[in-house]
Amino acid sequence: MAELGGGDGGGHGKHEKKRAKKASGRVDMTPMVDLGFLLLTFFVLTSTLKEPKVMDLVVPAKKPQDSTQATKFPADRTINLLLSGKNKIYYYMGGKKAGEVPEFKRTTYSRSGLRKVLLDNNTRLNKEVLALEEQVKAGKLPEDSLKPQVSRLKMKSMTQSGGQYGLLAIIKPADNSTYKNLVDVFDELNITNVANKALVKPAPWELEALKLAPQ
Amino acid sequence: MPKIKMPKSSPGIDMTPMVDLAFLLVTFFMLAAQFKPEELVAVEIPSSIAEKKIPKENVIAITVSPKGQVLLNINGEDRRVNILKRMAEKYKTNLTPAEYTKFGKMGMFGAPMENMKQYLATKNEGERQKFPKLGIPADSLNNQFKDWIYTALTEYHSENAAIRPEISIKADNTTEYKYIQLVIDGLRENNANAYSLITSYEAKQQ
Repeated sequence: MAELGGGDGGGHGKHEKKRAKKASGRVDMTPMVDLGFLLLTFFVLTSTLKEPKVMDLVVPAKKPQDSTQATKFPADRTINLLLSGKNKIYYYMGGKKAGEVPEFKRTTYSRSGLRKVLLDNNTRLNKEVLALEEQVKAGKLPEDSLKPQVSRLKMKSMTQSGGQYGLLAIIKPADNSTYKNLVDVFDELNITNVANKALVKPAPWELEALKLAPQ
Repeated sequence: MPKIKMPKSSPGIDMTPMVDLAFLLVTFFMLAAQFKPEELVAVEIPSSIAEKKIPKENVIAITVSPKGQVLLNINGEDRRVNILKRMAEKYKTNLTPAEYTKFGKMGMFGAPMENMKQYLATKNEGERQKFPKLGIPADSLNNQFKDWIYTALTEYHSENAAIRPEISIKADNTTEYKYIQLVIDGLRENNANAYSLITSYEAKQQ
């Protein structure tokens, strides 16, 4: 036991005095306690309890020539996200029609910005995925079946027979956007359960248009 | 009014519960602690809702500093030595066995091949952090990063063809995307198309 004030203080004084001639049964624990606190301080300060997690990123495989991908998808289900410098983000729906520059809309990385835009364009798929998650929570579905089910649902939502309602996001970061911007966008896409996403280099005309976009 | 009798209590406090608690905490922190490995550059990672655990085995870890310096870490001492041997052969760099051993023990590294000798002559982590040419060149003029990845993948393949090394990318919040793009380009050249971005966990809010 560790007590301040050494062995003589305390209510047990009388009792102890009698046995004082014999060697005291108590060991002075102060040094040990000191060491304990020292270790405690050391571990509190040096440990990193929050272990980092990883987010998966898949990029399209290199082809002999980078063909234009956007044309393969119906315009109303494709959102182009352009990440620009100074934490600015712009988006436009669909692909580029010949001789016409689509209107860039500005949004923010916040919940009321990008997330709202994505949710508005991906309402049905998001609801379906959330319903699946609810079922897992209620114990109606086994937990490990959630991931394959969600990815199957996402795949299906892109196909013709599946109803074609899943949203495809094409992420085009400009050179001066930051890594945080990239991770934030992927995070929002994961939260809103967007069906498919692709990381693509912005086209030269898009970089030009970014300069003219509303500030 | 009668005087309140203060009980004669000892000036010593029984600290047993406190000490018990302290030791409990010591034990907890000792067991739960994950020591931060020494890093050559300070990197502050962004947060995301991703819940996947960080891979520990067969990792090719790429770190991109805020200034765009690319650093590599490949686990396995022998493996690192073999990879450097392959690289030295390719870049016609002469290194002594002692230098190879040192490289094997280093962990995270990042230096152009032409400066590898000076880099390996550094005494400690602190000197390496201040190494003037820190970082593996990854631009299209002198893409040594691509070759490092190529040699690392070849080495993994020659060890065990069934193993697919995990490629993780760690970059600072403020690292500009152009540097990430260079890294991704270098990886794509080697047909490595799936990566793990290292982020810190943040709870999901709908």
